[in-house]
Amino acid sequence: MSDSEQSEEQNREFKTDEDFDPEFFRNIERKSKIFSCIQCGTCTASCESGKWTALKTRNIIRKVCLGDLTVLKDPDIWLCTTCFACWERCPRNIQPTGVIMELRNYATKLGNISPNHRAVVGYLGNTGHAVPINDITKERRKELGLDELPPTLFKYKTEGEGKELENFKEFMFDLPPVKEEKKPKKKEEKK
Amino acid sequence: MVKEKTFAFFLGCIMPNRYPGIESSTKFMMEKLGYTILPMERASCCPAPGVFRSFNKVDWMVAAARNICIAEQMDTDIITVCNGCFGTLQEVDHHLKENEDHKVLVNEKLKKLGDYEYKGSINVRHAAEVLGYEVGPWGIEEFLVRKVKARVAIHYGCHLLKPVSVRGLDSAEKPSMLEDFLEPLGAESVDFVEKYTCCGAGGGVKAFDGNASMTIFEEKMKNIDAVKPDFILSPCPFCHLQFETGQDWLNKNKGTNYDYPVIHLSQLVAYCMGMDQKQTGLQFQMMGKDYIFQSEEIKQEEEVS
Amino acid sequence: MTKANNEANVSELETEEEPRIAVFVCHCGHNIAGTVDVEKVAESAKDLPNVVKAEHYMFMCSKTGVKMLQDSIKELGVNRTVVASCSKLQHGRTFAKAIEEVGLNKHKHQQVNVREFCSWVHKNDKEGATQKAIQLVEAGVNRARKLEDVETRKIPTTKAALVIGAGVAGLRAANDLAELGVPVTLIEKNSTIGGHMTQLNKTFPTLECPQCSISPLTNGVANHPLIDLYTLAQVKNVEGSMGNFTVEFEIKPRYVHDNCTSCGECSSVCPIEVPSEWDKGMSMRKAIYKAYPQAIPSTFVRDKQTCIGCNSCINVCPVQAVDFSMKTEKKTVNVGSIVVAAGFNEYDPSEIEPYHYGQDGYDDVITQLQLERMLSPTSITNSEVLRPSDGRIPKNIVMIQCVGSRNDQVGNAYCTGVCCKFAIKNARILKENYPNSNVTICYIDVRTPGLNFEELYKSAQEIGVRFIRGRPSEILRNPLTGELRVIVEDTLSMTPLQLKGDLVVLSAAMVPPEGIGPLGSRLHVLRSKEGFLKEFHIKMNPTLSSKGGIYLAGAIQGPKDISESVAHAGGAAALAAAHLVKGYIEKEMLIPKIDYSLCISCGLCKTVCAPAAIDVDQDRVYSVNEVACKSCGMCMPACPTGAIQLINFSDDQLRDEIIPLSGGEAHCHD
Repeated sequence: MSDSEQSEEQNREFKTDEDFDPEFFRNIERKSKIFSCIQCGTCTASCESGKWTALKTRNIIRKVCLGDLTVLKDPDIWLCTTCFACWERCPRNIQPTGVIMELRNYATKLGNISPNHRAVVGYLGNTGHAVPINDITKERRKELGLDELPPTLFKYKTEGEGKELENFKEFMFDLPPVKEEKKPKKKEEKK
Repeated sequence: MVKEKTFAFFLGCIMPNRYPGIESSTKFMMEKLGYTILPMERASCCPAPGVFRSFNKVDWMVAAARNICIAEQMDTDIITVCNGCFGTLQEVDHHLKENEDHKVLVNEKLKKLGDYEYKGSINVRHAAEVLGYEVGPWGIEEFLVRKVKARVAIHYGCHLLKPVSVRGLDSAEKPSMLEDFLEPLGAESVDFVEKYTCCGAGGGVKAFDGNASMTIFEEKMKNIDAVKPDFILSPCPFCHLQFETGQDWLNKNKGTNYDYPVIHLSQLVAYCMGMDQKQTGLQFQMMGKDYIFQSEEIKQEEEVS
Repeated sequence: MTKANNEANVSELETEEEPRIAVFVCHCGHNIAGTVDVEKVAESAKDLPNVVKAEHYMFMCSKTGVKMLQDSIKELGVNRTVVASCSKLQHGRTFAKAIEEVGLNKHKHQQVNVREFCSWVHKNDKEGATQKAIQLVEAGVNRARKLEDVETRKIPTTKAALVIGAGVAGLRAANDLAELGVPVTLIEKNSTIGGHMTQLNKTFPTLECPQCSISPLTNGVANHPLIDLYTLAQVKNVEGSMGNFTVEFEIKPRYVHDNCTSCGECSSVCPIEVPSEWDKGMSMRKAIYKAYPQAIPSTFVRDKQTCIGCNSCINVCPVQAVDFSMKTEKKTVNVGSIVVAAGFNEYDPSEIEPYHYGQDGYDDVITQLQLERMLSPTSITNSEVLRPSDGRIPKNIVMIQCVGSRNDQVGNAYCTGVCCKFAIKNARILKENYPNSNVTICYIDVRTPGLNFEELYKSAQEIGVRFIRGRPSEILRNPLTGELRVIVEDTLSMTPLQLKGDLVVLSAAMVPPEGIGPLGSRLHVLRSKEGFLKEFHIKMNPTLSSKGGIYLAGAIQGPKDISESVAHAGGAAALAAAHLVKGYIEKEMLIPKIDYSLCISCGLCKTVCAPAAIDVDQDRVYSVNEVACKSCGMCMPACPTGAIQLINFSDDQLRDEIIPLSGGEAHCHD
């Protein structure tokens, strides 16, 4: 792509058929329901996050209907707190919360996942917990008459034939490698 | 057949690893109520419904099914005191009981993790629901040794009740399960604006964008502060964590002066059933360190011991 | 051969006449002949047994084509005709009528469809299409061979009609029937007639007074010599079929005799107050009451459920009209037609939890019909719009559209189609009456088709009604101040909004009336999945129900506004009157016959018979009601022994038809 073509793409406000891939989401769950969306805005109005953040649920559903894949790079899909308010109220039963969580699955496969979330996956693999134990809590557990360590996977990490925690780390939540984000840097340089 | 009046106690992450007082309170409460509480050895994170389901739905189901299998091998229903754990385990259990294809898929992958096969032979329960509908406001009174005099801001959290079609517990728009249950405990529920909205922690938002999470929480806290309750009560350790760390963050970043104690349902009930306040672990929490329950004894000391 | 023997042979020939079949293959211009080799098809038909003539022609439905058909009968003694052209629905009737004109029974014609079945679907396979046409023609000839005459019988009808429901549709139907000279029994389940229209303040799009519009009709019907009106009446049992029904209905006691002078003394002494149903709970009524001042009949009525029996009313009545000993009565009428005009209910929005309709603290959330009651000249507020919570005039009024419509969660996928007009009309009136108020309509789509309705929409925009494209997610109440806020996204500007709602008006859907289930079963008519009574054909016969002789008028068939209901009712009345005025119905006796040597009285035929045309007596002998039967043939496959056979569709005849199509095999039930 030549520089002039690239700048045209960046500047233009309109989109063409080539900007959409209506086939991309052909295996998405609830597909037919998503297409029955009437864009009434009940989801956005219900959204506790969207009141304060850039998350606009209705627009996300619209992008899925159009096959607009920019939705998978959109950080806004990670601002849903999964409170299910839109799911409960959608008059077409589209279950937007479920759609957003599924979009995040697609985004994850493309490597669009935040460093903090990678860290949480790391904790799970190393300790079996998303929030691992710390020394102060061990002390407090003892003070309250509880075992120092709860009887979870972490306590048994070195026991058992299969060493289950290792299996857990090996087979679960395999993430794509961290992307080298060059383009945004260039932009910054230009600016 | 699952064992009667027996539960496999699913701990999750935040309760055992941050708020052990909720764990000791839950054990105390359930045993006083006549239930047998069994440990679930080798259980893992549920895994959390917002984050892990978002990364890979299949692995999320597999890890949840593994936890359910542990209880299946014990022939007992699972009890949890966390909305997130309930959200994951109940939802996956419900889904796999209805979707044979996914059950096969999940069982295939479960073999890699160990000697597990999901059968669908047990149920997943939340303590709030056991208290609200099984023990009931009609049945709790005989177990109480004291009543608490307090104006309480109840926070249900999201995943206890929603999606309603999967949970089937109470209305999500105007629930009354906890208000009804707290009445015989002496606690007065105070209404506040947007009582049933999210605390802002879920869905991976707290990890993804802490500031966004705090913005949502700030509004919640404002609405609670407007009615000046004695404490905030929730049936979920993750909401609990958000209310604790959130108040601290607002005090440091937004110039507020919040110091509302955050109390889990189990902690309050255990206290009313005779547990020493110190054993509920409230003194280890960040907020309301000086708070002492205002209570009224209703039974003789001897009966308690 | 003796003479006697010869005569016997002749008479045998007459009873079992030799089939003489003529086959005509139509080109239909290029429609058929462009793909099917019509000459070859006609040629191959010539060799079939009993075929005495086989030809092809450009347009069989033309005058010349029809004459070819008729000439073959006159000249060659043809007694069965087969035309291979279009569908039976398209021109089957044309050819049947043609042979009838020259003396053959019209059921001796067999139509074969080689256009839809061959040329149109196999355009790229001319040979295959031709082969298929040859087989279809052979099947048609086989079928024609055993066709029997079917008699058309005149059945006298009872010149009287029953109309169920006395809202605007029922009144209109009753009035039209009576004006056509048909005596009408009109029954209404409530204590007064006029229906929902009497509750309204103004009608759209012209903002006319509905009481003024409907009162000539209510008065006219109540006083019409050919109309018997019964209020508090409900259908209990219906028997018979088109032209001759016997209907039993029950009349609940009014507890006040007709000598009531409507003075109102009884009401004024009655100690009981309950919310008025007619006023949608916006005012109270007594246990003995008249729904509203202009109510017809004007006789008061006692509500037995709420009455405490203190007898004050009995004692005070100056004409001794109050009588607690009145009993439920039963009446039976014979009618030739039934018109169902049972109307609709306003959807109960309490099902949609986020709107909190009917809950404590949400008194200021009302429905359009309740708003209509406040605005009306007969309202308790003197036509002022006052908040139910504090009696103040609201500053900010928000209307919410599609409450119970277009909502899969509550099972109503349909658009009611009336609420946009209804809400826009009321919003405009509010803005006119209270120019300083803010009136907002939250909508998903504004649907105002038809003459004068977009103009109404425009006039509301011009006067300052605010339109926000978004469906509110909830009505939020501040528990500290009691204020209501409507939470909605303005989807056009992508802005989440919190609108002050001093009064929130829900545009609730139109849903089937309560009790429609039992009424539908008593009438033996089908219902749509939404619960309304289903029309025979959505386009061509929207006023006939699934059962002959029972017609639908107004919103019972689906949501309608007043204009549509009145037009629908007029159509229903005309159809209902036609065969009563004529005095008879013509019915082709294309009905099943039961071979009692095979019948095992299992009753399966009766269970599958939608028009309920199979009767059974106390000895479990089943018989076909020739008038009610719709010739659908559902009874045949249901019968395990083949005892019931529809004339000209018998297993034997169908087997003959199938053989050439299946390559020689046919398995019917045996």
